Amino acid sequence: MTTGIARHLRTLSLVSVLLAPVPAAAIGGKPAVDRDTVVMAVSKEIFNLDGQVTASGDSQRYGWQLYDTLYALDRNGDIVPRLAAGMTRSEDGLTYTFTLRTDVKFHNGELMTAEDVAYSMDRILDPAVKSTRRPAFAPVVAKSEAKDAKTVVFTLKEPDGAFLNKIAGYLFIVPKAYTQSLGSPEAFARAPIGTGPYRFVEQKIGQFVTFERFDDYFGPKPGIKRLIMRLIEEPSSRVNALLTGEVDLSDGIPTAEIERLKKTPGLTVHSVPIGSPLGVRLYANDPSLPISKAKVRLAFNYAIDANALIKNVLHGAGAPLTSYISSYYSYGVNRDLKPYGYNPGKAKQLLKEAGYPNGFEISIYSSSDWPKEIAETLAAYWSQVGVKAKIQRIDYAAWSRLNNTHKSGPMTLMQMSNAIFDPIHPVTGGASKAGTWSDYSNPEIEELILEANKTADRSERDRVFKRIGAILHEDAQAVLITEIFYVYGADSALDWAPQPGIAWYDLRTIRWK
Amino acid sequence: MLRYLTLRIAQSIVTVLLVTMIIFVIIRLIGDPTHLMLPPEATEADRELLRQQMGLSDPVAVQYWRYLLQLLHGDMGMSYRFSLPALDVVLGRIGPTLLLTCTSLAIGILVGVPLGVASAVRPDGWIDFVAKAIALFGQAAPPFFFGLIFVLVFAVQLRWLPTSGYGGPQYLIMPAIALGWYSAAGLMRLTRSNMMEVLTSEYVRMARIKGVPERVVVYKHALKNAALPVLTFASLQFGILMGGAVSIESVFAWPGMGKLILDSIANLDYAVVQAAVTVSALMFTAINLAVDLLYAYIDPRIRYA
Repeated sequence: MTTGIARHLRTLSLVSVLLAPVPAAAIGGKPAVDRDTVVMAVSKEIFNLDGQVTASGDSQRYGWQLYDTLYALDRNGDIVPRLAAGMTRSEDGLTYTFTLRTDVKFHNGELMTAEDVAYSMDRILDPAVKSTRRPAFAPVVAKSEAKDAKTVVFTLKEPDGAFLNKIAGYLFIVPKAYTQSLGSPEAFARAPIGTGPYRFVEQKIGQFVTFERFDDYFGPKPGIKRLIMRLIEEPSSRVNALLTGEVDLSDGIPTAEIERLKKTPGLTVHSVPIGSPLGVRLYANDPSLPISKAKVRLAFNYAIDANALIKNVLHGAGAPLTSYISSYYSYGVNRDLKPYGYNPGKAKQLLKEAGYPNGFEISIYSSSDWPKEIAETLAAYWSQVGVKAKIQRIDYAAWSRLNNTHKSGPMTLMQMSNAIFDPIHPVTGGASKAGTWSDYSNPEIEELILEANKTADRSERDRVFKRIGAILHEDAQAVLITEIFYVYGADSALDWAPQPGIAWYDLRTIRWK
Repeated sequence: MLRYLTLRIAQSIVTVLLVTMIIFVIIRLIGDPTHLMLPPEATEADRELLRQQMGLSDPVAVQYWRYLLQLLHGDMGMSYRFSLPALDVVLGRIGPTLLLTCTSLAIGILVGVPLGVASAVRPDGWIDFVAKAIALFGQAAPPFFFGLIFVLVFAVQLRWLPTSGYGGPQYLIMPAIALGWYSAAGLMRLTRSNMMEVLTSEYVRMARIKGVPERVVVYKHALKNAALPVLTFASLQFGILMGGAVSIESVFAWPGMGKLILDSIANLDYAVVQAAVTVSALMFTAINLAVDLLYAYIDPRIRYA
């Protein structure tokens, strides 16, 4: 029902675009509130402010403003110390010792110590907290302890080559004494305290969240005093609010609006890759399906013109993929690989060789989270080589349940998010025997995954993932569509650029020019 | 009258209980929220643990009984998405929803009923013509269409009003008129046709023959009798506006109940869906009860039946 309405709205907003040249007034250096404040329109509700509990998709919006991690991703894609001053890993890869900075304060004024860090891990592991991060740490972490005020030791049950990445992606540090003093784990979400550059002020569900600058922050401080995230779910309403200067910055700009906003004086459009592939998950393990054959899977790739789809359906907000590993990881990307390219002749030839000279019928799921035009375009391309794909469009929540339980077959449109800045995430998740979103298995990949898990050495991991990328490319474990881009519209007078390679929002140093 | 009142209250309680029971069962048929709550890396064991913590592994009847017991203490469970009591989440939306609903309905009644009366008194006069045009647009186009047009004209072009949001009266004007227009159209047409019917009835003719002034004939004799269906329609509109203003809530980023219920269903936030439906059902039955009592006041036949 909503999607129906949303579609009409979108069509209408397109019509109205044609009618109305917008008077240039409030944008271009005139802040929505004042020069100490930035108002950002966000497209998704900010649910739970407990960064350890909330699902990753929500924490993107505020997590990086409120909390810090021991190590963090910098703008070059490197993992660098943040709350930690340094780290040593034991020979066997089972012990991680972090030395902490001594000048870090929580928003309540308390100094951060090793006790807080050890507690933050224990809190995630405690089932009563219902942390969404628990499944990432529980299988590998044996214990966490504070050796002295500034030394924390994590002992692992088995080596985990991506452990530091998980620390950087998932382990938000919370204050022990304060958190324990609260009546229930849920109470923390109402008054969250971290060490980040902004502190929490107020949340009005369905309306906004307000933050203010934390003046005792140990690192570079934000150039503004207040940050307001305003919820505006309807895309055309976000664009209107941006045009009238009611908000200074907006996420989720519909790709159809990019050109118009670029032409509007005083506005800047940022379109950045988030290190996530959008592809079609194939249930290749089912031998009764034609897509169990590599040639058919390759044919599905050659049959589509990804460049045309990106240009016309996504209005340029995308880039072709070369493998399931996004090109925007800082390592493990096989730069020798080229996109498959549009080659319907080759696709027909491959289908013939696989024993389907006249094509076949198959179905594909498409959730309401993606424009329906994407699946429609794919189906149109495939019909050119004789394959009839029936599109099953369903609500996101229902789809997500099917997709997380291996019931979204035989094919579904799907994205993989970059959560921990290491290619292990899409590889185990989407291309391994045990992967939650994988119905593809390949003994070679399984061995390489084991190899990756054993080593935390970056050049080693680089080598292993390049090899994995090449194999996945050759075997076409998925249909590759595009790198996912996030599109933001901003007042040109804002000194800010989104962090590339990740779906999280980094407003830590935003300021007015 | 007391017997009538007691009976109606008892009926209302049964209705609310039935509604909560139906929603309780249906939302559980749709799906299991643990898939949405935990990251997909989670194992079935992780999910089972969570189900037990949330009491979802018990039979639905047991869960419902527990819900009713909690309800007696005013506890409607926790929203997993917000980590807040579901009732608090819902109560936060009641103010904005009632504000928008009552304002739109007031616009609907203040515009629709007088226009309906005026056009019934002089069919095919100029007022009738204007009223018909208003009704035509109000019924032919969905409210969000006017919402979008208003935004483009008054917010984006003229900059008189903010494009969306919730706050002072300036935020209320456009969504209330967009919704109120829709109600006004229905109310106007209903009032007009009822009034036309009543105005040609014998007792009105009788009153005129007796020499009762036309103003009294129209507003006392005729309107009071034409008002019953209009009242019913208005009370139904109230229910529709309360939960069904989703598209207007979307366009204007209005923090209303409709959007909350829809999103909570999509995310299987059981506690919020249950709380929102229970609270809405309570309010809606309360309105119905009030309307029934108004009927009894307006029409003695109902009182003594």
